Amino acid sequence: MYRKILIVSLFTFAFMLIVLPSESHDNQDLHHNISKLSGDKCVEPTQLMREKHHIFIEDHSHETVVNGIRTKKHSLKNCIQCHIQPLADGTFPAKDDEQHFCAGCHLFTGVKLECFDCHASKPLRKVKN
Amino acid sequence: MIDKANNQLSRRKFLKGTAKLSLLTIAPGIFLQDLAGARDPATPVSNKSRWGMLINTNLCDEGCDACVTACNEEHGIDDFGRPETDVQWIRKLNLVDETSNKKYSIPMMCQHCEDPPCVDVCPTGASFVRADGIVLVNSHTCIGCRYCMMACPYKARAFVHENLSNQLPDVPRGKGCVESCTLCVHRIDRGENNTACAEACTKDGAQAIIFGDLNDPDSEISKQLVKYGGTAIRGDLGLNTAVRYRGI
Repeated sequence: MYRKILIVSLFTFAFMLIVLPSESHDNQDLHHNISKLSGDKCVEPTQLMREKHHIFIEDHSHETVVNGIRTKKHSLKNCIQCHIQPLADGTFPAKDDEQHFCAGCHLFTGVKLECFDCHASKPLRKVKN
Repeated sequence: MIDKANNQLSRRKFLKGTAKLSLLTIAPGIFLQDLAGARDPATPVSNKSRWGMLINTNLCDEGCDACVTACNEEHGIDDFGRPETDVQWIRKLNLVDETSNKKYSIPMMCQHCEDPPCVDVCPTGASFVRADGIVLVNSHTCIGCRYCMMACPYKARAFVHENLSNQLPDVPRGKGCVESCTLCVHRIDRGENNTACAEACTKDGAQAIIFGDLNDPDSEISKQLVKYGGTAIRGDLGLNTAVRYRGI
């Protein structure tokens, strides 16, 4: 009897080992529409960005507004430049669209996103006449 | 064979000569760029410069609003068809002197005071003077109380009453905040050193607006201020404005 329970629990454990990583892998693939033009890495390691991007952006915004520092690293404008790319039909995803890099995660986690009430949610593309 | 060797030599000499020449021409270029004050984006602004404008009201044309249009376009300011609440960063005033009947047309915007009343009254510290003399609103701390609008003697500030969309990347704007002329701070930080209104006035208007560094004695604006002087509107308040007018 105990042996059966042991075997079942071992199987369940093994199953979880196989299934869970593949699920998280799927999560990572949620946002594949990122510009490769500026390299294949973000300005900070992915995990650090997931945890602290809001702090980086907020600190940088203060430096920009008050001290006029316009470096690209940690600037929201630069985030948008890489992370928001046109959809298949050539338009940019709306700020509350799941396909928008920021909105996708914020909708999923239920965290209100207020940056784009004021800031541009898409890069500026100058149209050639 | 000999000719070929000579040819090679002369080519070598030629290359050496052009290299020297290019060095001579590049070096002053770099030097000039440094003088022009193209700031490294990582260094904070300093009080070395104080940006300002000189507006010649004798040249300003009553029917022209090139500066207003350019400002609206530069900052993504939309017209909602509600003049009482629509945002204005710059507006044209047409005045008549009652004694002489002389007509004046002047563009009016934030005067970028050295000691601004809007900063004095701001309860959150959102209204502030940047080191280079530009008076700004930090929208991250602005609570939209509009005390600054009451305090400003120039009626230069505006409150955003409408939900906005399609803001420009360089000019974040949003409902519930007060805003005013930033002297095109995004352009200054890029090293362009000209405002949208001054550029438009030079191109499409009457060349009435000069933008420049008041702290630099060699700048066009400083030279003209020394030569012709510049009136500060409501100079009696002693605010030492960075926007000065000629001919009023």
